[in-house]
Amino acid sequence: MTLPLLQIRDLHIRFQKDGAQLDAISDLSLDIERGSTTVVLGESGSGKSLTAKAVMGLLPPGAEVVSGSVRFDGRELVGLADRELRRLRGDAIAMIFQDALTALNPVTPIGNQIAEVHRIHERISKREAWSRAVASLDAVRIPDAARRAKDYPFQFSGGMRQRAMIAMAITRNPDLLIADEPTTALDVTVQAQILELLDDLRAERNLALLLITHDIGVAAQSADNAVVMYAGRLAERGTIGEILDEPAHPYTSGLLGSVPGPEHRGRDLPTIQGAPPSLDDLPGGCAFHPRCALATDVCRDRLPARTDFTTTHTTWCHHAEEALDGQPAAATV
Amino acid sequence: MTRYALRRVGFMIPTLIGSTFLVYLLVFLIPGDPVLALAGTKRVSPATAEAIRNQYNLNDPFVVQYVKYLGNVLHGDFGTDFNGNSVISTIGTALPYTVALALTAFALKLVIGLLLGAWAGLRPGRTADHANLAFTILFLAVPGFLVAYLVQYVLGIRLHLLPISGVRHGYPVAFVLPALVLALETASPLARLTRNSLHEVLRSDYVQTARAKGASPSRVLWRHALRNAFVPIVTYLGLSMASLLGGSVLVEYIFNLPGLGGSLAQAIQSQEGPVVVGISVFLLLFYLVSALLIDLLYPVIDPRVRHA
Repeated sequence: MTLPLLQIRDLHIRFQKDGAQLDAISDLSLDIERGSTTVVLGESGSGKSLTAKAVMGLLPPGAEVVSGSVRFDGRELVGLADRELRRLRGDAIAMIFQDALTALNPVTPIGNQIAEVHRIHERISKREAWSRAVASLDAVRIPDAARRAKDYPFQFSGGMRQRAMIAMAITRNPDLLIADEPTTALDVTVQAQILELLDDLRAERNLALLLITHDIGVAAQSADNAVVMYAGRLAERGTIGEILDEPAHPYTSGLLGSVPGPEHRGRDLPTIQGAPPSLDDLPGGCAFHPRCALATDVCRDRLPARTDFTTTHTTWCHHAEEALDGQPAAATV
Repeated sequence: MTRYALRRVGFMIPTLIGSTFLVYLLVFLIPGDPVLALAGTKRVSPATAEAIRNQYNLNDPFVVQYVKYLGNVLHGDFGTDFNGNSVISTIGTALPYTVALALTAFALKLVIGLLLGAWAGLRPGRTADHANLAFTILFLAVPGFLVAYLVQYVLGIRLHLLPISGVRHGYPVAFVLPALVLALETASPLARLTRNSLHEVLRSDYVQTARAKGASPSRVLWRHALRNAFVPIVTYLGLSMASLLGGSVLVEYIFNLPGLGGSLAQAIQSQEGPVVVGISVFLLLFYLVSALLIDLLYPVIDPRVRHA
């Protein structure tokens, strides 16, 4: 068996905030195979983006990896010098962000911003870098790429800006592309095009895709594997089929239950009651227990251990068997 | 780009005409009789007073006075003061001092404001940042004339480093202290703005993108952050020329420089409308031209303006 492209083991990230130490990510383990798509699901503040930033080595000030390991292509990234990390960033590991309008430099032409990635990582002429930038814009299906490369971000439409971001990310043929909510700022038809584009690029270039989203529809459309996070911990992970069809964590069931569908016509949409906890006020035991219909005393007292259903399907719930049987398990309105 | 420049120049004309009207009106509204003010303690025969009034159109209604004045100005005639000297020659003598003072102060202000602001912006929450804030509050709160007297006393009288009055020592020696006082006052908001702008830009998404591309910290700063941080700074620099010129009137007076400020103060006291308006027009013209030059930098920095 070959080594996964990305292997995260027992990652623990801590935040310093006003003198207090907050556990932003705990016991996170995750494997990503070459050429596969993994979605990370969860509400805001569940630690999805922070996980991505940890892989990129771009943790915000105040956040640090306390323990655990992030191995990329067999190489340990935790503790790697920034100089070495910079060589990987934009080259073997690339990232795109939610809002392409703010993520692109407003005062530099799109083509220059893409060409810059090549000039950072390789000693090549400006002309060569420019022609590669145009080729990348062409690859993300920007019409008339040679001319549009001279445009500034404000001259692009929302969908085209996200395409330009993707062009910038794939221009050096990375092995891993992290996409942090890449479609959230776009309207639905454009969302579908962007997801399709990402999936085509993944297939053509054997690119591993780590897709961060809170949109189950996005996950269902493109993922091979899914990871559900809650309050900085894994709630459940499995293949996308296992997660969608046999959720074994009340939180996953709640997320799935709150996706609007035809059966909800004329009725209130089920929601997970309450709000995700803030990191400085995490409930003891299983952090989800205040919002969980299955919660019992043990949930309030102890962290759930892992339950493996298959080699791929794992959940962290005291009542996993029950959750797997009874649907939907989360408190619903 | 050319259209942008032409439009900016076009805006200057109504601005100039409108401001001559306002200044003329203000002088007209000053209570008292300019002829009596001119005579001082001497008695003036009614006939002489009348002759002077006629010579300067003082008997006409305000609008007629103003239109006559504007007509003369358009023919290049800015009128004469009560001593019979042409306003143009007064301005011609004084203007170089004011320009020298303003430009020197502007250069000093740029150096002080940008360096201090950038230093603080790169180290938010640290000593540099606090020093920047203290500097800003101090020089914004303490009136300029107080700073001027303090600088005169310490650097001039106590330490004998630099002259504190007049222009006998020529440029640049005679201009260092007045320009410094002027620069300190107007560098404060610049330092603050630079600090905030840089701080903001360094937290922006596109700076994060640059890092995600593998850019080194210096590339992130020079290629991505600074240029964006400059957009609001350049806007402010254009606007701030006004406070620089306003401040120069006071500073010229304190440091005894024979610039436009001194002549202006004198003309206001003797209610010599044409002189006040003439000097104001030249100060305004200087402001508009320098603000225009700075504004022309703006589209170079920000493509969104160029394509608007």
